Amino acid sequence: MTAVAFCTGCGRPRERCAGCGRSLDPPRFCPTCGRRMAVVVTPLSWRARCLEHGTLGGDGEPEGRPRAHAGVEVSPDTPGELD
Amino acid sequence: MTEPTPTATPVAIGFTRDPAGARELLARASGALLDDRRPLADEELAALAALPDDQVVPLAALAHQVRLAWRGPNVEVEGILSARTGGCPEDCHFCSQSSRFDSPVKATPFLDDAEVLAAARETAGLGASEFCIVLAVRGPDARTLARLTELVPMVRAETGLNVAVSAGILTDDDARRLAEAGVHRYNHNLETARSFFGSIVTTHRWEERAETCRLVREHQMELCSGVLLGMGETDAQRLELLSQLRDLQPDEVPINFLNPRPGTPLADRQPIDAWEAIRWIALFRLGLPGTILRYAGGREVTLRDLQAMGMTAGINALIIGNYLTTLGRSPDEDLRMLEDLRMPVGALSAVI
Repeated sequence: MTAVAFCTGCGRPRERCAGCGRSLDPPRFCPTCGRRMAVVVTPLSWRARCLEHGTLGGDGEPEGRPRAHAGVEVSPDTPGELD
Repeated sequence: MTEPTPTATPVAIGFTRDPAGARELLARASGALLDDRRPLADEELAALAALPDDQVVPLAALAHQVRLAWRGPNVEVEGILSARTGGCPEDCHFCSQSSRFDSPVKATPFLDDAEVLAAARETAGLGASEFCIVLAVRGPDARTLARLTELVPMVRAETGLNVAVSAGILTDDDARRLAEAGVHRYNHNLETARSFFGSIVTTHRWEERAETCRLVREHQMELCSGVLLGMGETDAQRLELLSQLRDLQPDEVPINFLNPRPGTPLADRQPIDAWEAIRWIALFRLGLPGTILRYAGGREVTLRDLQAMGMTAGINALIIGNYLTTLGRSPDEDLRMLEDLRMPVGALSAVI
């Protein structure tokens, strides 16, 4: 299980961001370490890769679908794809 | 950075003090565009642009009739892919992909062939006819150009889609090679009026953009040259831009609305008002009656529930699914909207 320590919209520690995620933006920062991620956006999906913590989103995964930004912030109950 | 919440009390639209004058202006434009089939003069467009807010619906209705008369009911659907993201040396103040701003967008190298082909297949699966490969570069270097000339025929052969490219400023030789590789349409946006361009971009000149547009036409690729509304330009500058586009005669004009990006100089600007966006869609259709007018970035945040209205105000093409670095609304919503509007999806070619 992976706690969400950082905001995926701005990369700040979670407690210092009131929530800047927009529904039409893919995550840009790793929820685990706050590093900027390399994000690939395709017409139907997206995936975001942290050098340290692996990939979020991608084909066939709910995190990778449009309008899924809110769901991407991996909570302790939904570990997602972080490795 | 939070999304705007709806205002409790909407601001009422302004009313014309001269309804008969407004009707006469619209009737004259209708006569010119629908009966005489003649384009409007810049002065006629300026008069229409000055109509009060309560005339936006009749203005949009006329624009819709003009679109149907000049281009029919079909809507061209396109998918786009940022195949090389971020790290751009240019300083376009609206863009999250400039290396000069502290943007959350991390630079990524040119995607490999398999990734580009997969994105093209996604696009084809949505019923689109056009797929645009977009690179965040000032212009293509030799290696980039070589990749593009390999990729374009590959995507075309694999998917049957028309392939468009957007790779910045071109030389004559670049344009020739891209045309030879089978590029159907080349995208190079003017973005804004010549008189405002220096406030938005300092690393290249408006004239360089216009020159690339001319090269695209010279080498017989279709020209796609878009606009980005809402960067602080005046109404007069929007009209100036429209006039400059009319001079360039693009086959397609994508209409983008500013979606303020964190870290960019325009991060704190508010998106333009939805009603204002409808007005300008209509004016662009009235100024460019035969052009493919495409919904592009920012429509979700700007128009929200008025997206269908834009389709009856002159738009006859759209980018489906996600954009370059931001997400779009679900393709199903767009396809259902077109079905409800009885607008068949189909390729639109250049008007001869």
